[in-house]
Amino acid sequence: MKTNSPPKWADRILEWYCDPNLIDEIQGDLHEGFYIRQSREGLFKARLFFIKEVFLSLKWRNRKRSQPSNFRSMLSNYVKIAFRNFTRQKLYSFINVFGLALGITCVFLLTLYVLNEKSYDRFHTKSDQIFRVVQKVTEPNGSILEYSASVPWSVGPVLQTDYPDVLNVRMYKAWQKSPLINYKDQDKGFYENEVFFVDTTFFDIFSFPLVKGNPLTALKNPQSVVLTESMATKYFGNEDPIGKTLKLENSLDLTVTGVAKDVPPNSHFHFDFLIPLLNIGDIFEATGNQWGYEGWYWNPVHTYVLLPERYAASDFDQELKDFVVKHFPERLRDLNELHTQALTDIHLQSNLYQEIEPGRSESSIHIAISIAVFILLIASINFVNLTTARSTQRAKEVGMRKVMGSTRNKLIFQFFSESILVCMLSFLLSMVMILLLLSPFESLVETKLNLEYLVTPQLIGVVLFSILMLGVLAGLYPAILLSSYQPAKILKSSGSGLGNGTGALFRKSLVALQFTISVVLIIATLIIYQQHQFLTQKGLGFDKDEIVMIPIQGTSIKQKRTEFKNELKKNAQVVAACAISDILGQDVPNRPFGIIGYDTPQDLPGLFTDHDFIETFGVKLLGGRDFDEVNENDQRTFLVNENMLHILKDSIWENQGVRWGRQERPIIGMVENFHFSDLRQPVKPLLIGFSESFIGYVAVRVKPGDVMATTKALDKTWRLFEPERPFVPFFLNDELNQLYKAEKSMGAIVSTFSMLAIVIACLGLFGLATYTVTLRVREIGIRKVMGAGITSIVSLITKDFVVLVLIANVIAWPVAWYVMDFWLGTFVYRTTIHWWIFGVVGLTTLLIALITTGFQSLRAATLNPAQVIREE
Amino acid sequence: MGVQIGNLEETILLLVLIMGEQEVYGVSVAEAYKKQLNKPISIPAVHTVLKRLEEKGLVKSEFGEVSPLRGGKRKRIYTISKLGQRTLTEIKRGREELWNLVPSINISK
Repeated sequence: MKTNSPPKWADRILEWYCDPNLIDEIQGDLHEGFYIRQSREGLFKARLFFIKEVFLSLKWRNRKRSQPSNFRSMLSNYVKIAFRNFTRQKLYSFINVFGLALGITCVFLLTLYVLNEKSYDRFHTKSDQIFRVVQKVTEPNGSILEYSASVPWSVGPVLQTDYPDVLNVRMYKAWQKSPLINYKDQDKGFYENEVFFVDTTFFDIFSFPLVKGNPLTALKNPQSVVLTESMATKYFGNEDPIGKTLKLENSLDLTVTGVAKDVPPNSHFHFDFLIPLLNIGDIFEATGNQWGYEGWYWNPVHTYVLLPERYAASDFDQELKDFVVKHFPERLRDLNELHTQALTDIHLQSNLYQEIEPGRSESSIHIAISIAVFILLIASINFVNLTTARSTQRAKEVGMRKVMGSTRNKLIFQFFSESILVCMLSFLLSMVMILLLLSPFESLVETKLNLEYLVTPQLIGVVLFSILMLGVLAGLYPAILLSSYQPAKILKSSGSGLGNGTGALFRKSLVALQFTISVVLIIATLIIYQQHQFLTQKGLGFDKDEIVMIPIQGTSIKQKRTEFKNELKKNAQVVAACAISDILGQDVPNRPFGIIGYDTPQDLPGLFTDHDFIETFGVKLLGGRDFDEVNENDQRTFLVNENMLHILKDSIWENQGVRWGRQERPIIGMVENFHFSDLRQPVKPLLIGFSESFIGYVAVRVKPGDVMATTKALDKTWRLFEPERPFVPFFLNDELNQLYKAEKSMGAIVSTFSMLAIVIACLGLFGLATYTVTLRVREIGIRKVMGAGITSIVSLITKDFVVLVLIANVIAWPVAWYVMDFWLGTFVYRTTIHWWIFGVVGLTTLLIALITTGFQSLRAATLNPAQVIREE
Repeated sequence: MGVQIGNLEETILLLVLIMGEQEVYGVSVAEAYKKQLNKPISIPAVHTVLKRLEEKGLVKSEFGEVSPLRGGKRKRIYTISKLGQRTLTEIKRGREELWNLVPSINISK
């Protein structure tokens, strides 16, 4: 080793980096320069210089090049081969592309859904500064009595005085009722559900653009109304709505001062009419409300605050603590808590009492995401399986390419480009599918997707990138496997020996995985469906069928209740009728009652009704008696349910009284427990009182039969009393079924996508079966010659797959049981998981697998052996 | 006009022309540059310029002999091409034309 030579490592770097065509010149010159410099300036300096010059030589232009001239022709060759393979294997290509496209479509739609759910209320320019004030009421024993999205009337205005920097708006949506709005000039009148009474600050906080009118002044005048574009068309057609007069509840004139764009779907409330709260007194008079619009008890108003920039909501929560102590009446102070909730969290995270619209639980998002992932997984497995299975057919090509000097990297690149090509084709196909399936999907998830807002260049970028990644991932295993073949072995052997062994085991486990996922999804579908059936068909303890509810708030019928009932009973279709305060089975609000043994009034569910309640609803009387029509005193008495016994002194109802208002009223009877609230809540204690002022509906039990005729007859009676108002009855059963919409829609989503999952999985299975048959066609021929029957050949082929599906079932059952048991655990009343579900799903999947593979094997079994064996 | 070349390229091309008698390659050009212009230049810099000149067709090259000092690597010997000579002449003529336009007073100053 010469000590005066240039540093070896630098030399090596140079050799590693530089193009071999240039290395002679560069390295030679540098070495020569080194020796010249060494003789002049010494070894150390020369070495330093050498290193410097080595690094100076690492130029882009000197880099090692892979044969650039080949690249383009290779690429075009890859594409050509890819297309040839693609068209030659039409069935596989179809399964690959169609399966992947289905997968991509599902994932894309579900992604849109998830993004849409996450986008709620983000269109407000100040969405991150807007918070809702909510109220938590606890009982003295610490349990939560009410967690309400709305707060008392006085919170808003008093907050404004205490914290002038914090702008707030109150929204009051007439509780449990739809006011009547008339346009007298054209004699148009409708009951409107989305009427909001709001503070004048509404447009300062929320960003709802006005098409016509000035947001700064539109709500300043007490007698004004802002309506949405679609309402403007509904009432005024093509006329200019500004300045027109609408009548509220036939008594209050409102001038249209603005037309707002329709509220986007991704808002947590959807107003149709905005009316200033300034005239709430007049409105209450018009709508027959007598509870007042001030104070700290009644809490029907949703109150939103706009916090100044850089003011943390947690700080404001602290302020609210002081606020409660400062302003709430003494009795309520310790039991009440106000805090804030981010506007953008309302849709997914808040599920409080008195939400304006039911939100969605975050779990629905998680379910959507997991389904999307599962389906994509199943579709990609198809791709991997079919590609590796067909690798035998490509093996010769791989061997040939290797012999001709192709490197492993190039082969991997080739297979990647093929899989990316398939992904791109699937992507194009899925775009078509998405366009076709968008509106069915929207009705399936019962959401209008706000595409304008959702489809952004970023999303498209992410999607394209994901497709590319999917291509790489799905192509990874086939590429590595195929490129690893030893050319000598492949070319020598006939080629059919490959693709078995570990590759086949891998494929089999992937198929098992696909079916495991499908089985879990199908079981989940069935159990969700069962639970929904259970919720809608469970006996509630009262008859909900054949009950027609007639809303009578704000009508003269409220005063002429008895006459109206008598008139109804003249109708042959009517069995019984009673007046009632709430929609039974939906909710009965808490009201303060004085109970013996308690110092303070107890907030308990209080239902108000009149005679015939027990008869109309078929509630079972366990003891005592019903309200007596003859006995006037019975109009100041109570019935209780069984659970009320837990509250009452000595757990008996006899000879006890309940204080309501200023009066002590006796309890005259006890009824069996019935589900007066939805089935998400357990049956609470209930007081059933007699009242004329609290009633909001007349419930009519009708005979089963011709619904149209009955409705017509009821309408006739209605006209006798209220000719001016539209008649809008509803069936109690329909209304109650609405309560379980969430479960229904979840069931629909999961069932649709589990169907798709099994379809995609079967596509893959079909492809694999076809492939197996082609591989073994000669074997089958020989077996037939030797005397094998069709059944034995069919079972030969299908056996493998059947075993896989069985294994998948065995894995899937406990998983499905665990997950669904957990889900059912979130319900108070739940169906039981029956074992037969698992059996049925197992048999069904087995059957599907048999049909899918049996078809192919039957075809093989019926081929003429002479033809197959002669080949070669 | 002929080929556009930069200042350093022009200098190196001139050196290649001057050194026509000897072997012109990276090391010898760097040495000549140092001797004639009195400032050092790195061998990789010379390489870059020579390659660029070759791409422009101003010089031609071929492999030379091996010498032990070079670790068994061949030299790449450059010679100026017809186009290179013409380009240098054109540049020279262009400069002279320009110089002729300078008023004599200014030179003395």
